[in-house]
Amino acid sequence: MDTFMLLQVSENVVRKSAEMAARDPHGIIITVVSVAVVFTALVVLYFAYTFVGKAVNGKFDWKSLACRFKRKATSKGRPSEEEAVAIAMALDQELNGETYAAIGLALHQYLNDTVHDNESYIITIKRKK
Amino acid sequence: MHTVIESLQQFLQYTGFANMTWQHVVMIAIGVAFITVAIKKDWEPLLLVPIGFGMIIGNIPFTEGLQIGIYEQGSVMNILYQGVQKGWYPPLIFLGIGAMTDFSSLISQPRLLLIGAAAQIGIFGAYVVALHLGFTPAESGAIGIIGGADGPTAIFLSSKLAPHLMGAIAVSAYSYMALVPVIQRPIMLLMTTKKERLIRMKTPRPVSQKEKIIFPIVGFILTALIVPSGMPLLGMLFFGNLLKESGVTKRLAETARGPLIDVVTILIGVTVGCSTQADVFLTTTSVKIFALGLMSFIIATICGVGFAKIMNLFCKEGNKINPLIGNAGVSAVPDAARVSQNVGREFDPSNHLLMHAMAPNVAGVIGSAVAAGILLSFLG
Repeated sequence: MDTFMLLQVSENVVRKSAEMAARDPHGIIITVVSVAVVFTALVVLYFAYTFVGKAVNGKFDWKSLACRFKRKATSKGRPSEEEAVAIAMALDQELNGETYAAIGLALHQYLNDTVHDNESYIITIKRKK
Repeated sequence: MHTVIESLQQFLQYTGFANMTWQHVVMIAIGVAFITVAIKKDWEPLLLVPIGFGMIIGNIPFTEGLQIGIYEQGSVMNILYQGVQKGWYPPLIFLGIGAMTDFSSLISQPRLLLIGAAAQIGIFGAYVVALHLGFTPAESGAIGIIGGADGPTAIFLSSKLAPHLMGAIAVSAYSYMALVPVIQRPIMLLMTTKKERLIRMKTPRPVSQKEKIIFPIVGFILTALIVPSGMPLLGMLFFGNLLKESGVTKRLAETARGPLIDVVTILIGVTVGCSTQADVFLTTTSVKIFALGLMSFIIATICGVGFAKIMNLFCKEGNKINPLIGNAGVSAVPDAARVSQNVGREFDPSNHLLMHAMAPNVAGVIGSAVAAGILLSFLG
């Protein structure tokens, strides 16, 4: 009796095993998911150690990373706070009445949709006769 | 006079000779074979000698009720067996492995981690076949892990998922680990061309102390966050490595990789051997487990070598991987890496693959612990 008591599987394992047998009788789902997770874990480690290796040995190009982030920020059309302050200060120093008028006119045209024709973006080539 | 004869008769009934069956004889013979192979061939002697002797201990027949058997609650052997059954020996072994393993080759060539991942496919190949042979999903998971070629992981997982099969699974895992050179070599030769076997890999770059210290911390956080159920094994493995690499805990590292792992190896070996009592062990189920374990091991080796070949398709000339290190994706450390080295040197005596093969080998340890964690979270 002791032997059987010691070798008994817990109820939780029996329940989960039965659920898995019903859900995935051929073991394909668990295989695919598990292999994917093992690979994910080790791929994550691969990237982490590659990065750590480069960072620790001073081979990581921090400048290009910073540039990439900067470009990302500006490509969204939103300059950083420092950039906004710098632009405001430069404009404040250089602007005069004509510049204000030009900006005002440009804004007026832009907002009233009179600034450009809508382009079709289709290029056509016609043979010359 | 009559009383003396009666007492003698009663005593004789208690002896092992009176209770011996042919199954006991077979198991004792297997135990002797394990010890012989370990001593004569030097195959995994640290494991096979304790397991072999444990088999002999466990198969001396006795009358139940004396509280001496491993399955009798409260007996000495039963108390020692708790470490196997509750799964607290395997993490302690992992602590020692972490404290004795140098991960430099892996840190300097992280791409070789992927070979360690590919070799784990053997586990799931065996899982699918075991299901079709009529094992339950929990039993199949415990059997499949043999393909990870990691004894402590196999014991850890089977203690949770299929304790009734643990003896067969543990003995099968350790037997195949001992047979790594015999099983893997023909597969490696079959899967590689002569040209591939001669590939010389770039010398790994030197690894700084700082990287070695960051490795276990980052490694543990990332893997444990992905598979929290593998935490006991991964935690102890990386913790042991931190003890080694930190440089300020030399005494702890020495204890972990010395006396502690030795004590636990003795206990785990003897008790696992003891648990193979003929009535529990000698069944057709055990035969199936041995066959599945072998299959799992073969698939793991094929996947490791095959994946190294696939990686070569994307590597530039001069940066290629010698596919002979693919077998080391299974986590039999360092035997599998040694096989890569020996087979590589058969074809080019000056080509030393050991350093390179250690990378997928230790990645295999991490990979098999992750795979065990996944199976535990699905089935445990």
